[in-house]
Amino acid sequence: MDCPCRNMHSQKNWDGNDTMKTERRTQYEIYWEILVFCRSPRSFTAIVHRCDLNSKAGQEYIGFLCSKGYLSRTDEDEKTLYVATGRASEYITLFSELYQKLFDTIPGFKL
Amino acid sequence: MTDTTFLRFRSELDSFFLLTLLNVVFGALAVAFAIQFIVTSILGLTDWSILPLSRIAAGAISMICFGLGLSWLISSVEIMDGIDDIRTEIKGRTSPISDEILISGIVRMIAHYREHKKTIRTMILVCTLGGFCFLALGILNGLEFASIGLTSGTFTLNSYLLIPSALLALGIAAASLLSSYYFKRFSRAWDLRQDGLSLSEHALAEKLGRE
Repeated sequence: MDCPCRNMHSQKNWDGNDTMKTERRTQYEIYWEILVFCRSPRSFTAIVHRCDLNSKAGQEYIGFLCSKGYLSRTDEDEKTLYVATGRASEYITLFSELYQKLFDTIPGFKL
Repeated sequence: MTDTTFLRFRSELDSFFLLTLLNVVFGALAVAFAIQFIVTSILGLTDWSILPLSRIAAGAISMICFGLGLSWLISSVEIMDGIDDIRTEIKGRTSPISDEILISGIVRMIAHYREHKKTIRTMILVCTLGGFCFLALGILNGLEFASIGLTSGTFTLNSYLLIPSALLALGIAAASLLSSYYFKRFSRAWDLRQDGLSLSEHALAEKLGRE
């Protein structure tokens, strides 16, 4: 199950409001966003809405994360919810470390 | 470590926002002065039967400057728009901040850079070209109203009123060339980060069990 390497989606800010920006995120960045959002159980609609994915792409990303054991599916009051597993925190930690390290090691821009 | 990174990230965002803001201002000034130079060099002619070569050259360069200035302005606004959104999110936050917020900001900034990489490349080119065009315009304007007596060795300026306009053209030229330099520096830093990310992706792919 492969997703396109670069995806164009509008971006949401951290409070969940739509900023209507078209930005490019890699599949790994999208996986990270889904997993961070799913720290508490979320519905499919909430995930695709929060991470700005279309339904097809959302199914692919969520399907992949479920198949690898990063997301687990639970049924609650006739609703299917997804929640990040323990394995997800390993990915989240690695992602955060890599991005932070990259920002710390490479000389930045200053006027 | 997160706090230090957060402060660095915020400072970078502020620097880049300031750079794009200055570019918007100078882009607008460039458009305005290009129009002014078109008016003075072409429309300001009293006798249309005699067209001095310097006027034709100044008019042509002014028109190029107008186009470049407009392109400069539009590109700056495009870049500033996205940066402002990210900056607004960061602005209200004070240390200590969570990893999630910091990484979200970095991810958004990288995504914004990827999205506008082409525009930034164009900006570097437009600023450099614009800088040289305005430099030529400033020199032409200065020369047109200055005369040097070769035999007597005297230097006279025919109109003091045109000195400010020549100086302004030179000022915009300097701002334009400086912008190009700073955009190059910004681009280099984020290109290096992107290259680093491409290498990191391998580790992330491995973690996810995807090759």
